[in-house]
Amino acid sequence: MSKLLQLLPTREQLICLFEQHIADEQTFVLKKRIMARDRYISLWQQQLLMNKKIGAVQNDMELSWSTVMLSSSSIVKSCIRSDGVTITDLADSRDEDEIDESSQSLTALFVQGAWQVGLLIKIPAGSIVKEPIDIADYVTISNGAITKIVIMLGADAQATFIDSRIVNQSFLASSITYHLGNRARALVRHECSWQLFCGIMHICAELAIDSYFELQAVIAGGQRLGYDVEIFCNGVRSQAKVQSAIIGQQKQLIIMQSSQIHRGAYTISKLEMRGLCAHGAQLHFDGMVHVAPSANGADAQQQSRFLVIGDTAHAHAKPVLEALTDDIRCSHGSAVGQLDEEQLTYLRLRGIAMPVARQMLTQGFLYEVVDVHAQPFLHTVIKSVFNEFI
Amino acid sequence: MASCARPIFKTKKGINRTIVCQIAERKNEPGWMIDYRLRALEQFERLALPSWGADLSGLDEQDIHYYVQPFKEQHNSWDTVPDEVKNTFEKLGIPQAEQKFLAGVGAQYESEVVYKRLKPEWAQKGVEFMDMSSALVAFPELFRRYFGTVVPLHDNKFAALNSAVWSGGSFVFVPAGVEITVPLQAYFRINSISMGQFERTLIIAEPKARVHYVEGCSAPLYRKSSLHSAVVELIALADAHIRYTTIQNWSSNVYNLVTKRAIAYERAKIEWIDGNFGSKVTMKYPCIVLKGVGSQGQIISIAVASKGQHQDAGGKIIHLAAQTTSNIISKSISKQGGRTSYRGLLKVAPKAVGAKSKVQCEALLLDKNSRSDTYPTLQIDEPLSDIGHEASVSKLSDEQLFYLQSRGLSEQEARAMVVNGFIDAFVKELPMEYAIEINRLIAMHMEGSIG
Repeated sequence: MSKLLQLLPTREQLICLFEQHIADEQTFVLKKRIMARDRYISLWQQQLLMNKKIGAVQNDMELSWSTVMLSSSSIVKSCIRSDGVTITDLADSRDEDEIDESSQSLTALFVQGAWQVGLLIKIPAGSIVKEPIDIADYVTISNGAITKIVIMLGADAQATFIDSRIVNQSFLASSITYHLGNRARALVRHECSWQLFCGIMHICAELAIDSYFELQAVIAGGQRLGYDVEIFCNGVRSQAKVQSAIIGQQKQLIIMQSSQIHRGAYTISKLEMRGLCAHGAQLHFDGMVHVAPSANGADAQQQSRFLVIGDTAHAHAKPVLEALTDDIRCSHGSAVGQLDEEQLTYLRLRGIAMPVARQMLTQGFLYEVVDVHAQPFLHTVIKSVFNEFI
Repeated sequence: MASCARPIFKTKKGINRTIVCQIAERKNEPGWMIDYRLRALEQFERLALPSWGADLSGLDEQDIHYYVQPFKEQHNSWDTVPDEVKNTFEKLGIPQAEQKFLAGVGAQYESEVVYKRLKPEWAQKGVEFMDMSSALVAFPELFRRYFGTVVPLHDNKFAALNSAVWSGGSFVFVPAGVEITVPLQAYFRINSISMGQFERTLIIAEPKARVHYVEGCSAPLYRKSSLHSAVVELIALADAHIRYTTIQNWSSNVYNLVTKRAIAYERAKIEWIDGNFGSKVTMKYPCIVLKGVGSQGQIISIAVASKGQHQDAGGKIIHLAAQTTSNIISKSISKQGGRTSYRGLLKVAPKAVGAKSKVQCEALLLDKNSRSDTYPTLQIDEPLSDIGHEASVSKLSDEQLFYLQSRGLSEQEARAMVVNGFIDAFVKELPMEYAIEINRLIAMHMEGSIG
C-alpha cells in the first residue's frame, strides 16, 4: 500500500473540514473533492505498475493527512492588491468553473482530493500586472503541505509569476492551474530546489483563444519527485512554450510527465526538456503530444535531451505522439549522451582543468533552456553537483 | 476466391488439451514436444490479452480451426503439386520467381508446407531448408537445442498459443562460413474460412554464415476473421549475418499477431525488413537482442493502414554488450481512416559501454480521418552510450505537389511520386524484384488516394 494513499483524507475528514465553510452554495466543492479522491483511488489500482514509482515518492516519510494538515497553515487571508489582483481562499470559491479542470494527471487528482491550503488568484480582464506575482509568498510550508492554487487571468490580462520553493526535509504535493482568458499572457518562472525532499508537483495551463503561456522550470534534487506539466491548447491560435531543466544526482528519482493537448485550430506548443543525470540518478520523462481531430494546422514540438555523467545513471524516456488529423506539424526528439570529448579537449587545451571544463559544458547545456533570471540559481545547483563529484 | 478442395484433416473449432494432443499425434511428435505444447497451452490460458495496443475484441479464440492439413504429402516439384494450389501460387508469381532469382522456396497452404525445394548447389554446401516438423525428425538434437530459446513459451499470450498449436514454418540452418548469395523464400497462404495459421520459423546461422530469408503472405477475404500468429526465432552466431524480409499482405479480415525475435552474438548482424500492408489488425514488434560484443541490429519497417485497419508495428532493440550498434527506421502511411502506430523499445543495459543507436519514425497522413501514433520507450542504464530518437508526422506537402505539378505532372502522379520518395529507405533495402513488387503494391493500396 502506498504512503500516498495514506495521505488522502477519509470522506469523514473531508466533510469535517468543510464544516467550517458551511454554506449551501459550496457543497459542490466538497462533492468535487470527494469525487476526485475516489477517482484517484480507483485509478491508482488500475495503473498500479506505473504508479509504483510515484508512490515511492513518499516512502521514507511517516506522514498522514491529519499530521500534514496540522502542520500547514491552512488559513488564507483574502486580500486585494493595489494592482487589482485578488487573492482568496479556494474554499470560499462560489464559481463552479474555478475548480473545474480537464486534467488527467494523477497528481492533480490527488491534490484535488486532499488539499489543505487552497488559493485563488484572479487577475482582472485587461489589467497588465507589472510587478511579478510571487506565489511562494502566499504558501508557507513547514513539515509538509498539500496545496492547490488556481490562477485566473481575464481576457487581455498579462502577468508574470515567480514560483520558487526551496525547502528542506519536507513533503509537498502541489497543483497549480492557470486559466488564461482570450488574448491573455502569462509568464511563469518556476524554481524548485529540494534537499532530502519528496514531493509531487502539477502545473497545468488551459489556454483560450489567442492566449500565450510560457513556463520556465528549474527542478533540482529531491529524493523522489514527480513533476507533471499539462498544457491544453483549447482556444484557436493559442500558444504555449515550456522549457525545463531537471537536475538529478545521487540516487535521486525524478519523474517528469508532460502532456501537450491540442484541441483548437492553429495552436502551437513547444516543450523542451533538458535533464542532467549525475552519479546514479534516475530520470524518467513521459511526454505526450496529442492532436485532436479539431486541431487543424496545429504545430506541436517536443524535445527531451539527457546528459549523463558518472559511472551509473538511468535515463528513461517515453515520448508519445498521437495525431488524429492530417493538416499538422508534429515532431518529437529524444537523445541521451555524454559530454562531447572534443569540446572537453578544446577547453583543456586552453588551460581549463577537467572538472571545471565539465562544469562549464554542463552549464552550457542547461542554460540553453532558461533565461538570465534563472541562471544564478541553476549555477548554484550545478556547482553543488560537481562539488559532490569532485 | 473460392476455397480449394476439402482438406484431409481439420481439427474442430476452438482450443483445448484434446486439440493440442490431436495435432501432436497427427505429426508423430516425440514426448518432449507434446509436453512442451501442453505447458504452452497452460500459459496461453493463464496469460491475459495485452491491455495496450490494438483492439482485439473482435477476435474469438473459440471460433477458429487451429489445424487444417490440406494434403497428405509435401512436394519438391511444382508439377506434382495439386492444380488448385499450384494455380494460387502461380497467380502470386512464386514458381516464376523461384526459377529466376531464389535459392530455395517453401510454400505453406493452411497449416502445412505443401512445397519445399532448395537448389542443389546450396544443399551440397550443407545448407538445410525444410519445414519445422521434418526438421524435428531429421535434426532432433539441433532442433531441441535452439527451439524456444529465443521466444520462450511464456513470452506472451500469442507466443504461448503458437507454441501450443504450431505447425508448418521453415527451418533454416546455414553451416559455418557458407554465404547464401540469393534469398530463400517462404510463402504463406490461408485459404479456409475461420482458420488460424501458426507457423514457426527457426533460422540458425553458424559463425561467418550469411542468409537472406524472405516471407510473403496473403489470404482471400471472408466475412469471418482469421488469425495468423507466428513465432520467428533467429540465431546469428559470431560474425554471421541474417536478413529477414517480410512482405505482409493479409486480407483485411486477418488478425496478424506475430512474435519475432533474434539474438546476435559477437560481431553478428541482424536485419529485419518489415513491410505491413494488409490485415485487419497487426501487432508485430520485431526484436533484436544484441548479446555479443560488436554486434549490430537494424530494423527497417513500413506500414500502410487503410479503412478499418490498425497497423500497430514497431521494433525492439536490447543492447546487452559493449560496442553494439543499432538503427531503426520506421515509416507509416495512414489513409481513409486507417490507423498506424509505432511502438518501440530501445534498451541499453548497464555495462553495454559504447552502445550507439538511432531511431527514426516518420508518418504520413493522407486525409483528415486517419490517425498516426508514436509510442517509443527509451531505457538507458549505461552512461557511456549514445542514443537518439526522432519522430515526425506530416501530410503530403502542398509545396512539393505544386512544384511537381508545375513541372507537368498530374496531381495523381505527383502524389504517387512523393509517396514513393517517402518509402524509399525501405524499398532500396529489398532485392530488385521485390522493390518492383512493392511499388506495385503501394500503387494498388493507394488507388483512389494517390492514383
